[in-house]
Amino acid sequence: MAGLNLLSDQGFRIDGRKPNELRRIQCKLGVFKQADGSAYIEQGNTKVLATVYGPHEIRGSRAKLLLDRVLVNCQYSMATFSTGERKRRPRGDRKSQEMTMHLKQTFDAAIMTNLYPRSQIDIFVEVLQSDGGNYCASVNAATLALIDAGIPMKDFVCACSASFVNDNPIADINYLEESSGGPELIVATLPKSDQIVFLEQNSRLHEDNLSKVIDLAVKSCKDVYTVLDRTVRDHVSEVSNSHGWDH
Amino acid sequence: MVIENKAEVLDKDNRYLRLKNSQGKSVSIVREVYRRENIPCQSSLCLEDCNVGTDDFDLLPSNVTHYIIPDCQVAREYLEVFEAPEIHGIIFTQTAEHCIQYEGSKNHHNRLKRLVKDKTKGAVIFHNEFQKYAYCDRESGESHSDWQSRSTFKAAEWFFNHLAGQLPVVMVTNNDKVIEEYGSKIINVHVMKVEEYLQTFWKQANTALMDLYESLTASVQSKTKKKGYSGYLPTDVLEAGLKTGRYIQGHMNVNKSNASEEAFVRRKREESKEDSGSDILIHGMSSRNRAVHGDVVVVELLSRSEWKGRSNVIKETTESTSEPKLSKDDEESEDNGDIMPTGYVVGITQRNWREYVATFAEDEKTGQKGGKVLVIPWDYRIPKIRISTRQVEKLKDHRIIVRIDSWDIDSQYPNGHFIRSLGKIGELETEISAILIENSISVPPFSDAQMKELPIDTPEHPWKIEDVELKKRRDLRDSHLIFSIDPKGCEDVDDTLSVRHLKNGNIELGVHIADVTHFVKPGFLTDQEAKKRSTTVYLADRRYDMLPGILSANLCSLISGVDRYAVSVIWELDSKYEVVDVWYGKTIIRSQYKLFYELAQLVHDGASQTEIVDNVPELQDLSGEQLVTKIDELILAVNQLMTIARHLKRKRVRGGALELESVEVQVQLSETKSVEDLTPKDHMEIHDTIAECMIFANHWVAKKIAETFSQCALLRHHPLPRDHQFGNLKSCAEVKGFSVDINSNKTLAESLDKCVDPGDSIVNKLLRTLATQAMSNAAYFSTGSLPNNQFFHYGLALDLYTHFTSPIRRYADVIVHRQLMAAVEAADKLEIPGNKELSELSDHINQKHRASQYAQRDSQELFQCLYFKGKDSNDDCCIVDAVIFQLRNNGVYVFIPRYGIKGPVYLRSKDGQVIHVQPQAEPEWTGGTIQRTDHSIIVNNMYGSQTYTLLDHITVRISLKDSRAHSLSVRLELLYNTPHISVSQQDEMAKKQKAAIIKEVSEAAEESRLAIVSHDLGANFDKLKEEYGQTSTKHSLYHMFESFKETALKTS
Repeated sequence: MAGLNLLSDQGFRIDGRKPNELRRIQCKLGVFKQADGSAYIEQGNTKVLATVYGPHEIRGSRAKLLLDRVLVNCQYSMATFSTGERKRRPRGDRKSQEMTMHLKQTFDAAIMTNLYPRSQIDIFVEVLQSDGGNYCASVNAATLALIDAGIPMKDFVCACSASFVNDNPIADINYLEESSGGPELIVATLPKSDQIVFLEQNSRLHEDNLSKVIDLAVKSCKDVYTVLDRTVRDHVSEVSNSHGWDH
Repeated sequence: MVIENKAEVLDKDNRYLRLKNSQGKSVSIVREVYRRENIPCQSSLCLEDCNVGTDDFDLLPSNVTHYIIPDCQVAREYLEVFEAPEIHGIIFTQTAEHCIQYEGSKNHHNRLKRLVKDKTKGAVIFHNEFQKYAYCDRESGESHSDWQSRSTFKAAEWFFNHLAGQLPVVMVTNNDKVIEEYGSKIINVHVMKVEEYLQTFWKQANTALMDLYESLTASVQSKTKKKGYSGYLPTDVLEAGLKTGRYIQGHMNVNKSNASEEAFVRRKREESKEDSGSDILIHGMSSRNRAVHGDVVVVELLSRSEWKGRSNVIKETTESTSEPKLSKDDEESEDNGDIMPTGYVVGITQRNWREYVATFAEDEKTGQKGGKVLVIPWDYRIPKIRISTRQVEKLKDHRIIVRIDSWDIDSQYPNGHFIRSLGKIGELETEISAILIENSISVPPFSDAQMKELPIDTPEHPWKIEDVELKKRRDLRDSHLIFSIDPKGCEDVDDTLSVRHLKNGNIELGVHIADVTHFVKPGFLTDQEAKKRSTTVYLADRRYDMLPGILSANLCSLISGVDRYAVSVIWELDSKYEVVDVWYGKTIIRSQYKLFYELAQLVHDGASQTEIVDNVPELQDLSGEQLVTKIDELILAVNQLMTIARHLKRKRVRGGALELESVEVQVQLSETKSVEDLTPKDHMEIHDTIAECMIFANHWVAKKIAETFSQCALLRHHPLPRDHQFGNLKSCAEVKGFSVDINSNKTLAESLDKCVDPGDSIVNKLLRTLATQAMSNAAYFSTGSLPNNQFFHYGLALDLYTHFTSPIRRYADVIVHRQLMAAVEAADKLEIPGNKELSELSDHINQKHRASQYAQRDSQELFQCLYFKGKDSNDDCCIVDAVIFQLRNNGVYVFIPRYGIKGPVYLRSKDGQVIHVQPQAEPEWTGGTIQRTDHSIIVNNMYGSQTYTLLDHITVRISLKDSRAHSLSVRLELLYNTPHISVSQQDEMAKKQKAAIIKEVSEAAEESRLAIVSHDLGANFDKLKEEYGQTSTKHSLYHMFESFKETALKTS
């Protein structure tokens, strides 16, 4: 779109945010009772549902069994109604396969996999509505679902995207900003230990600016962490209250 | 469960905006909008802290009577009204900005942005759609424009309440319904029409505003349908065509001497890499399709059989040339040269319309009131403009400024509107301001606010070195012998030098430049004004400074005997003059001698002690032994300096540096602004010495900043010349049997050195001038915007170059100073602009530099013409010797060494007659033919044939071609085909003559001006003028500039 002004001279983005501000995050743990763990997250208009099963015995082909650690099995899919145009999205398309791989790599690094050798954990992620930052929302949702399922992890995994517009890094980009052709940097971190478990970049970004963008993305991940952490604490206290446990 | 994502921003609102977006299909998309309470209102009256954390919190001034909020339609159609300097405190809503962005042109939007960026204007964009309480939702069934006006009113209401009613707010609209609906809703939030608004608030202030409004309204309303030109293709077709290579995009360049027929499109640089890079000819007004000189256009090529050649005939520019001719000339095939790609305009990417100086035609009817009038622009390349004004009678003999608004498809001429008058035609001040406007140079006097930022230096409060700075800076006052060498009488000394021997046998060379950035910090008004001006503008009789006088002539000037801040580059050189070490940093210096060129040369050549003492005021109080040591010290330093410079230059020349020539006249003006005398431009070695040291400093600074800021250092490069530009130079050289090798700068320099005709000293000079013309222009750039292999400087044969040594006169140097300091001190890095900003800035500076050069050239031509105005055509000074340097089918271009004029001489008149010259008599026009070969033109007629060869000397008569609408110009007529007087004699006379011209003209003008002005201001005039007079002549600066230009021409 010609003349689209992603960042105004007064420092406002198209949707009214400042460069370093995240979209509103709303989330909830334990939305399903059947699954071992589940979570729902909204980051702006991106809405994702994640469910976790396991750890349980290996299902399907036993050839995938790992002797020393747990097998993390991920499945990412987008609902047909998740975008402006209704579109059938078969499970195995390349885009979801890639996303599935990325999720698997991310959680392989974060889950204490060596605690459950010869078993399997399933993570199912469904994007209900997509408005940019699908991967980030998926990771954040899956983290909450894993916590809900009580699976030991090294830390929360928080993900956030960032871009670079008019010499300014901007955090948590939405679909419009994503599709304008600028660079997109996606980071997933373990916020407490400041470790990056996943980093991906699309389109070109000059080396000199890279550190600025990474710094902002990492900082935004920490912001996401504070939100997720509060949700988890609230959830736990709510559950414990309803069970009548003393603190 | 709802959780806010960030603790500190709790007031976020999340509503959804639904848009329908059609890209082939209609898709409904959802976009979120976040609203908040604390959108900065940017007003200095704000009672809440809503501006905390923003750097521009007091953009909206508090000293206005009201704030204006134009609604969308008004902002779009009457933006220019708000550009008027007297209107302050304008709030553009985000809604209005969007409206301009999507419904107006890109140019329009940029103008709005520029308006808001201009901090003196007090205009802001208020993000009303992001403000929780100023926003209103579009209701179902509400039309878009209704919603826009409601939003605007809501914003106005919010503003009024936000400022607790301290100022009334005026919403300006042109919609009666809106006024009816909102007009009486809230007291002190007024809603009114533009016309009413202007009449209520600005009636007394400015009637011109009203005029502007009327002509804008007229141009908005006038929309009729009749086909004349073909329409433009839609944008997406153009974009697709450009991508596939079917269309070509470039700048429209109209041929000045044949404006109605020929225009060229220069391809954009990126494309020229693959392509041949040649220009595309646009022949005739219909294929030019309403494009105006300077626009960025998209053209489609014609098929090869329809290609044409550019005209080889010299066209006489008359007042009627801007008449569009749609028919074709019968004869043209005969007169045209090699065919070149020819095309026609299919679309316009960007209109680059500016303000034009124009004049009413002499016989303009003044009958109808408010009728349409055609005006003739001063620039030949611009077509006549149709404006509507009621003041034809009043402005008949004036030069006026007009702006083009539109060019309808059915209209032969573009529509425009009148802005203001410059004054009577022919008056010096009018003509000078016309030159300034035409070159887009704006030089208002420095404002009081600006002066307040600057330090004071009066006898009561003398300026002193601050202690803080003393600690921070390296003190060179006692350790170094520092001196400056400048033209005689120079006031703003921005460079000084030092040289001394170190204990280890090495030599230490220092270049110390005035520390302008200490006084001019980024964000200062002075800085903004300097950025806007970018350079000091020198006209033939006056100058317009970039910095206020307190800086340029006092605190930043490195005068001898006083302490000054400086930025220094100090090298340690070994015995072979190779750099061992280099130091950059801030210093405090005290220059000991302020020498001038002639004296320094004299010192080097071995002047006697008394001669030196007589000319150096600093030495006059000394005597005896002390004097002798002092003088010996000085002689040693000067000699040492020259030796070093000689080595540096030799090294550079070995690398391929060019020495180019350009005919410049050096004028010396006296205190009272009249030309006193003109020193023949003696080229002394000392000139080279200083130039070389400056080049050396610039080069090393460029190295340093390019290393530190690989992406955003401001450098200067000089690209390779294009081969085809050398055609004329080559053919001229061939006539004399020389060959010019243009393969590299080195071979070019060497072959130019060989082109010496012992019998004619002009030849080498002329060839060098032609070589200079063939060069590309040197330009500033940001290192992030070009690949590394284009950083080089062709003329100087250096890999990196920048401008560092004249921060008083050039803004680029100020930036470079800041970058150097950031690089050295590792502080202030934040203030360094990024690549994008810097490349925009360098484009701006380049443009301003070019404009100031053009303005200077124009002003010199003006003086030249005024000189010839009163002269009898047979006067001795009008009959001069000229050298032919270019051939055309109906005449030749000649160069007149005596005045430095270049111009055409016709051998065939418009009605086809050719000239025959005869000794001791006026030439005769008869029937005959002209034959042109590679190097000569042969005129055949009944008397026999006469041959004119390149580089021949002929005698011409200069007369003045009077013109009402355009600048005056001189006409050259052939008298004899023999040299006038001996060449060497003329060469000497040339400079004196030029001085006489300017002296005479400016004296006359000065007298008349003084007579008028002093009448108003009384006896104090001289004093007042000294204090406030922006253009008052500090003569010496000019002189200095001339010599700098000389070095610049060698260096760039």
